Amino acid sequence: MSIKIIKPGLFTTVQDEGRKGYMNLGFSEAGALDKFSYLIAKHLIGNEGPSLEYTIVGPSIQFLSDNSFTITGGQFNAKLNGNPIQTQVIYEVHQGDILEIGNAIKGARGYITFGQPLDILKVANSYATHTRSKMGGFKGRALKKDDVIDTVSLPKYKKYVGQAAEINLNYEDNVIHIVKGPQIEAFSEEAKAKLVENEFIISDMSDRMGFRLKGESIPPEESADIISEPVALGSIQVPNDGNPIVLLNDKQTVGGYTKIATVTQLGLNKLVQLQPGEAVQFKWISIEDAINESATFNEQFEDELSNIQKQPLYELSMLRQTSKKLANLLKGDI
Amino acid sequence: METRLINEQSLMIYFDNEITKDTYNKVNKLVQYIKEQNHKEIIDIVPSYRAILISFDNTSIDGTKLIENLELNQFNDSESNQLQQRKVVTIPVVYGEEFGPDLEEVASSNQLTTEEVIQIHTQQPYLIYMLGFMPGFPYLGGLDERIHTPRRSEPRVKIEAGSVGIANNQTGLYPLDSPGGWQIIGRTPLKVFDLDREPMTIYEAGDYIQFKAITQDEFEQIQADINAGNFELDKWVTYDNEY
Repeated sequence: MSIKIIKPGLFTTVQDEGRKGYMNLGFSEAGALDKFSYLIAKHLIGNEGPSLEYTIVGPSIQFLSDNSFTITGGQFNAKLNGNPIQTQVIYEVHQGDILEIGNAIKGARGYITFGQPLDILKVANSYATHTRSKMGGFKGRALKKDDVIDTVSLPKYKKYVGQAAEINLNYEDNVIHIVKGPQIEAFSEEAKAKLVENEFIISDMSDRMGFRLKGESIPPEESADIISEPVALGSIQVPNDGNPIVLLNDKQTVGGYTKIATVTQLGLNKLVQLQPGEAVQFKWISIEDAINESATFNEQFEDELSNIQKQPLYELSMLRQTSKKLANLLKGDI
Repeated sequence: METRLINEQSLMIYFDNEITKDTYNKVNKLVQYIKEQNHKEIIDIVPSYRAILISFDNTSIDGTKLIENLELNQFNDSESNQLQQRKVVTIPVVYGEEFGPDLEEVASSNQLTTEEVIQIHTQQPYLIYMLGFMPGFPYLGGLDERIHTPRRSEPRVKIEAGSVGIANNQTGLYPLDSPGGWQIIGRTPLKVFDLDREPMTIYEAGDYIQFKAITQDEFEQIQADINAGNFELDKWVTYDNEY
């Protein structure tokens, strides 16, 4: 019972919701960058296993035993045995079948989640890979060609085959909401204005630790050095060179640079679906608005997740030809 | 004390902008105060020199509500001069030779003998202000000025787990194999960090580390004991009183 990696893709790692409750020991949270797409998959597939997170160029996988799976997240050119497949649908596969995720069409990251889940040891109560500390996931690293990963036997893996969801996470624009950061007072009015006046470009040097941004320089008025303190997910750190870095899931737990702003939870989910070279437009909002925005979203998202099980099962053969989802795809919705 | 929401799921509590034992005692006491309240929505409480990060599940509580529930106005930080018990973890270290290849460098750049460096490094316990940088890495305060030494100009590709090092005014301990630029002066046979053990680290923020010089024979004996499954943390931990 296993899968084999035919092509690893650009950067494919085992992820889950992240390593929670161990930050005081110095563990990075790690975990799925697009948390909501991960959660959609989890609700569809109905088990506690981890997902494979892929980045811009997805992996090709051969199933060495019967299984089922779903893909969620960004829109990729995904095919099962050469036939195009869709996101948020559970497919059944047999021994020998080949899933090719291909290149991103829209978005940057996606998730494969299995009905007979990957057999991965938990480290600090999480499956998540943190490549910098070589911990968690499959051997603490990104997947390579010819890796064979065992799967866990779950007799009911076929139960939800054909189940589908149509949750749209609305990544239609590049406007990213931010709130005041812990060292906002270290920055001039001019720097705070510059952060939202023009777009910033996501640099090639971006990874799961952080997105480096290129645009107007916004250095702090005096030194960027502060007494090291814990850093929150989404912090926009600005060193003396004035180039902001948005800290993501694989960040260190503590840092000693000034932080002008924090990207909101919804903003982060949008941001991580952008590729290097794409532009972001930041927008200041109040923390109260951010809290309300998140609460509204979370409530609606919970509803949509709980609706998944109530939907009728799709006939997969029909789904390939027509369907509302396919029409949505052509319109560019995820 | 100042409280700020950093995003929808994190808040920071700040004390005075300084690295002192006094400020850190307040941090440590407030962490205990919050832990005792046992809020189930709190995911992580991360102490540091002067600030505490609290991350919480914002699908079960709103940040402003959590701040209210913390009842920070009831917290009394003025007792930091009272008698407190402290936990001191003894870390046995072989200094120099292949265990501490930079001991000579630290000695010569400070016009000291290697014996003097060892004597100074082991003379008092160091407060662990926080863990970070990598799992289990302690940020230690209070390194004697006489042995401050800049980082190596060429970082090492691999530093062995258990290595004890100096970088400028800091001293620390590598819990895992890692690349790094610190001046390595010795190594401990203790597994200070072990993923398969509960707790994973033998110390936490707020505890003290006391380095103790041992011989290579003692190192091997301790290592053999550990490999035979005879690691007893209690043997290395003492409690004392401090004003």
